[in-house]
Amino acid sequence: MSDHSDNQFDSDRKISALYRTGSTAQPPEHIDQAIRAKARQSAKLTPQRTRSRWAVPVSMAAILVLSVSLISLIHKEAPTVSDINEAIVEKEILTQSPAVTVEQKAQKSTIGIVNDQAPPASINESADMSQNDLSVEQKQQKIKSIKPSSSSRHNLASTKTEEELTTDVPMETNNEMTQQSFQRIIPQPESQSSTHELSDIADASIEPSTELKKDRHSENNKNCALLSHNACLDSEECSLILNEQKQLVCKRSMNHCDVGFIQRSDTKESCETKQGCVYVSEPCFCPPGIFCVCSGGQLSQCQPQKAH
Amino acid sequence: MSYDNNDENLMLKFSHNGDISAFDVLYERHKAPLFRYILKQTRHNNALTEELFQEVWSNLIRAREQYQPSARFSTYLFQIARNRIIDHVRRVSVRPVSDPETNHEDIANVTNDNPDRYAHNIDCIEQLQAYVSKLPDEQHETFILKHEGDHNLGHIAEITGVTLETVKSRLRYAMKKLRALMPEECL
Repeated sequence: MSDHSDNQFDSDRKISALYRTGSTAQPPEHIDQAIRAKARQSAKLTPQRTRSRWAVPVSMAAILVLSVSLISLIHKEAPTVSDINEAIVEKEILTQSPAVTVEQKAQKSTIGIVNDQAPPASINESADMSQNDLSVEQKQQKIKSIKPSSSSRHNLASTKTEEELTTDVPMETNNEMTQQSFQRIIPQPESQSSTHELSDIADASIEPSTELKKDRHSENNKNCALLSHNACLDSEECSLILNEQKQLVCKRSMNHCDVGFIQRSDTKESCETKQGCVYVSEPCFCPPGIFCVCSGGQLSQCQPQKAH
Repeated sequence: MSYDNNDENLMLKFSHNGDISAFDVLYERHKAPLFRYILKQTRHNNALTEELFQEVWSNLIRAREQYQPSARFSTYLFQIARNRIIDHVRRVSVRPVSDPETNHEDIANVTNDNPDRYAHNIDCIEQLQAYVSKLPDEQHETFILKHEGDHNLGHIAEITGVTLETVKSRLRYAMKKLRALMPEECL
């Protein structure tokens, strides 16, 4: 059995050897050349794999460079400790300044109304300087309660008008409102000085032209006319007089005597201390709205002494 | 053969880097076995063999980027060749016949120092080739792949798409027939 197997194995080896001996066929040379040429041509068309081998590291390097530059940019633009400190300081200033800002606004509006013209920034700044230690509300109240000075009081009606406008109630038709307004302009010794400061600064900074003065004069007359009789009597800038039709009218004080003369409270002495001024009064004049025994007659006035 | 120069690496160098020298090495290694495999499969039809041989290499070059070194290169190459042959047989629907002239050429290429022995071998080789070509197709293919491509049975099973047992069986039947047909003086 094993001999038979060995014989078979030998026979198979001989058949294989014989077959391989006879298998020497080769492809012709021209086919070899054609195939190699085709391979070369194809290899020339696609040598781009080399590039792709570099593509990954190159792209990664590019990403790295971009990332680093971006991070450095962000780092540069990020706020430093000193920037943060500066910002904190600025914020603190801002948190303190709203009072000043409101105050500035209040003052601006007041001065703007009083003088019909916005004051220069220096005025507000100086005003701020003088009232820095006051709270906003206090300042606003004071500003409102101050009786206008000689230069700023001629626009008192405008101040009132502002209030009236906010309530949309005409001044002439609402006597109570007028009374309230009048109460508010009763002199307050403390606040007067500060208002004087403001008005003085405003006066110093404003030098209107002749035309402007005329315009303002007529405007002031109108403003005085808007005052109630009681308010007019308490005004230094306006005077309550009897016109030719024997009617009481409130007009702007026209000369140095009646400017600053408060008809209700000022005396003959205070009038005649001014050079060339004479005190004229009717004792029985009774201010409107106040119950008196007598009424009518001439009002007390401080007038220039007439030349003989 | 170093690892860098095995068939698979050479094919990768050619397919991915366009390394033409790698292709040259591959071509030199596999051109003769492949040519003879096709030649035997076409029953020694020389013209058809050359045509199919070129087609196989063209396919390999064209589809080189699809090559994945999961299989042996020779297995991959012979699979392409086998598919090309099958396509051709289906197209013509005629079983290739052997070319007697080619047979003589092949046999004439055999070198042998002993003239008597040479003549004896020529006779034996002619007879063997004639008997091999008359084997059933499956046995014939298995025999050719075993002797031309230097493939082991596992590779043959992979190329032909059958089990290892089937390959063994086919080869056993082929050898049995050849042993029976060949004269004793040739064995």
